[in-house]
Amino acid sequence: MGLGNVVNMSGSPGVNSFNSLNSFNSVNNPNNAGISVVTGFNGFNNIVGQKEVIGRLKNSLKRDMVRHAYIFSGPRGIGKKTVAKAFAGMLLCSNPGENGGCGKCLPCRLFLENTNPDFCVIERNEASIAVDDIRNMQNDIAIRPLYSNRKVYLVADGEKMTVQAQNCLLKTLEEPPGYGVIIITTSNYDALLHTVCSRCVKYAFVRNTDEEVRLVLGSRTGLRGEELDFIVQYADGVIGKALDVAASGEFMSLREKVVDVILQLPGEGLKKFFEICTFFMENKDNIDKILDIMLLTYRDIFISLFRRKEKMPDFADLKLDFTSSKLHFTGLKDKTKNKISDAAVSFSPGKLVANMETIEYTRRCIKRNANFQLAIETMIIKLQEG
Amino acid sequence: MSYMALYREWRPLVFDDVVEQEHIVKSLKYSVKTGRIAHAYLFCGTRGTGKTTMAQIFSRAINCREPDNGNPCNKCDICRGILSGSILDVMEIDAASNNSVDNIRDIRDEVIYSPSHAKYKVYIIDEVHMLSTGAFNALLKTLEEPPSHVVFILATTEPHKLPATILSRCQRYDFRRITAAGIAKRLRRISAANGIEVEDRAIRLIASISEGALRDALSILDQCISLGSSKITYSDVLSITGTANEQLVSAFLNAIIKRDIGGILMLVNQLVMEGKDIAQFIASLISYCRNLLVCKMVEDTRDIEDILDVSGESLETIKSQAACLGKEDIVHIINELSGLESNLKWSNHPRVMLEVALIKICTKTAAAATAIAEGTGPEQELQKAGNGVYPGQASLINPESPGNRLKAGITDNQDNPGTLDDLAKAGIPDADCITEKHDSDNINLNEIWDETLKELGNAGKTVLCVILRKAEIIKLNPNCIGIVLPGNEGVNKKIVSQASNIKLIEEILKDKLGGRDVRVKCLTEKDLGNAETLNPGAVKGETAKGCQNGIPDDKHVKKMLDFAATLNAPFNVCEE
Repeated sequence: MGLGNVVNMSGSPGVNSFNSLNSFNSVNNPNNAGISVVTGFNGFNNIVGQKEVIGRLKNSLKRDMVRHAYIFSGPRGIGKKTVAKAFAGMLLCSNPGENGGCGKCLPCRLFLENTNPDFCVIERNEASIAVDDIRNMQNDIAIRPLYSNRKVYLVADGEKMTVQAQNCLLKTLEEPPGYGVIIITTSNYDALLHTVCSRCVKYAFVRNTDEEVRLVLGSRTGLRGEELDFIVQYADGVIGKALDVAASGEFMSLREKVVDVILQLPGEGLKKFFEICTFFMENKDNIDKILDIMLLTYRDIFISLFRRKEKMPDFADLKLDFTSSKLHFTGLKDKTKNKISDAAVSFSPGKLVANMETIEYTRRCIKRNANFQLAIETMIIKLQEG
Repeated sequence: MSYMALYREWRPLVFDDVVEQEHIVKSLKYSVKTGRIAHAYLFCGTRGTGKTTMAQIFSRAINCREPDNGNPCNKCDICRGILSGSILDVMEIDAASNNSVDNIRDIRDEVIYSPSHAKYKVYIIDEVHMLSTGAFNALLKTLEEPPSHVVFILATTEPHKLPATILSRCQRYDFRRITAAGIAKRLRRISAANGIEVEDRAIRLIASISEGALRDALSILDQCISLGSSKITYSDVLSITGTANEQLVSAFLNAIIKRDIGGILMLVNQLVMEGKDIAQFIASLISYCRNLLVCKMVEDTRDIEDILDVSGESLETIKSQAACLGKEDIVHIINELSGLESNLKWSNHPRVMLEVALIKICTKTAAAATAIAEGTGPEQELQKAGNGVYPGQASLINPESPGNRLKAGITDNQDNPGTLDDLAKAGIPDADCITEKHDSDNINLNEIWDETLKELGNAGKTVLCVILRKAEIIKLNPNCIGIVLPGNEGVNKKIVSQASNIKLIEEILKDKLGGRDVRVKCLTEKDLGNAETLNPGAVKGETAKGCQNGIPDDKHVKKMLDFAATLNAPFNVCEE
């Protein structure tokens, strides 16, 4: 179709990962492997949670009220693309069942093999989605579908579209040909133009419950005990994030290091300053994660400070139940845990709040291409000083 | 044919069907009736207000064989041809995808040919703000003097991006946002036509969420319809749009008023667990605060009801909450939240950001509360007297930054010199509020000072520590200690004088002095010098003021003399 490598046709790795994600139930069960492809196609069956979104999608299909433009919005790794692809499979199938395509008709079989020309994924891993990508899509959408009576386009990570690309999409998004369905997934709804949002139906994906994450993570990775607990809590209801963290072993050690750094910060003066700076410089690639960990650690400290009511006499009379308010202490070595609780005393609540703001400010600076070293050093000084 | 979205299905086909925008409809209809058709129009306004629709109607109206009072008939061959797209004389061009000079050159080359069927050749250039600079300039000459059979209609959401040379060649029509009432009326009509019952509250909610964009409103309605039930309720709309209901927003505000940080954390947790959209929630919190502000500012109840679109019982809640907050407090909350709103898109953790912002709002209340508690009697009385008023909510001031210092709530105590605010402002040792009973001068101030510095260093205040190391310490009166910075280092003075720093030093000193309250004042040598040379009595006056309740203290005078000696400054002691 002359779309080159810009528009990944269905044979892309992205689609493969969709199948594997979709069939996680059978991953640890080799006997099931033969069926796993079919269950993978079973669309909505294997998606954990998101009952409301899926219910509404199914309903719209059943009532023949399929819209021409969707935005799936939700945190990264929540399963937007998985759902989008399952939905696409249903849209393309000539005889869709309750929870997915039939798996037998031609469009379904092609879809399973990732070669259905009526399904198109526009995805860029690193760079932004440019005007030309959208123009290619516009040329392509003008061609009638080959095997189904619909043609589905999936723009993955829509926030990566440049402003020009989004503008370019507007007219097509408003009135595509009758067979066209465009699904945009995004983890940052606000980064899309108002004019784009107003043309689409928004489906907000909610976080999974911890039990759901635990179930999936446990069955897919075989993790148990404390580590599982921590990852479940860190993931904050996002299965993709949990799997990601579980897959990278270094994350846990990175976390210990960052917590150490945080605890070293106050009171050390200039002595450790350069040592700490070096740590950040060495982990430049992981800075987003590090800032995440720092932010969450300060939040932990805040909450543990809050628990020691004697530190905040103003609130002594409050009856608080923090069981449902997440602490991320789990998974740390006992020594570190104690250190955090001890450290809590030396912080004032105002200072902690200021620190969290400093971290977010630094994140903004770095994302806006400020000088990395300067941004980090300023942050460290601010964290030390308050 | 597959299902058509409501906003496409219900796109108006005649001027009379357009929702609001009467100012535009009227003049366009008139120009159709009189035949005074300009050659270039510019339609601008926010999304979903009818720009493209109006352009399409207009393109048919000017070509229609039998226009009905300015409206296109939509029945004649031309109208039908344009509607079905078989007549190519009306061209809708997507400027965002065809934004290069070459695309415009194509238009320029085409315009000379007369229309095939219709009277006019109409070019609707949508999203025109996306044209490149070259393309704009290539269009200029054609736009200024096109052949008599050509009409250009440019439509855009961002007219400020167009060059002035384009703007000056067009008749400009600004589309207004559609009022909530207008949207609601349209929604009712469409839902009735679809045989669907919609709760009145639900319609009002959709209208307010869509912020004057009809397309947004119809998209939401469309989603509600696709739920499949025959009656759409308020909670359906809430769950579809991820909006928090009014009770939850109101609960948040109650927690803010009570400075209940624990409660806020729990509420945020609830919000996230219910899968609400945090950005959307912040928007509703802001608009709720705006309602509070309106309640605060508008006296007449009837006026309030006119301005706010809320039901009776929630108005009562809003009023009672408004009574608990000063207007500066509300403004402060709104400022804080809108700052958060704009920063949110950079963050990975909107939830934590929301918590931080709310805690900040609360702790500022708390800080203000302490400030008041430390003040003199009348305020405490005032606090008690203001029945139902929680301590501290009277003002959400931030004592740390003078710029933010707002006198909120309490207005009748401005003449009272006892507040921490006034103290910080004037830097005058406060003799009234500290009793003389701890008069002990046998403490070695310098020793304590060294310890204090050490402790400041431990607390991570490196910079402060470095500055203070160079400073001299003097006793201004039994309860006031002066820090004298060398030279005229205004910057250092500023750093030290920050309310938080002064407070920290005071706390440490208090600790060292065994629980005795002291005030700290920061001066520079030049301050002292100036004061002494210009008015030799000033320093002495200060001392005397500090001791006005007792006999002038010899040891103080001695200290001051010593100090004057080290400074090499003239210093006279006079008896009064």
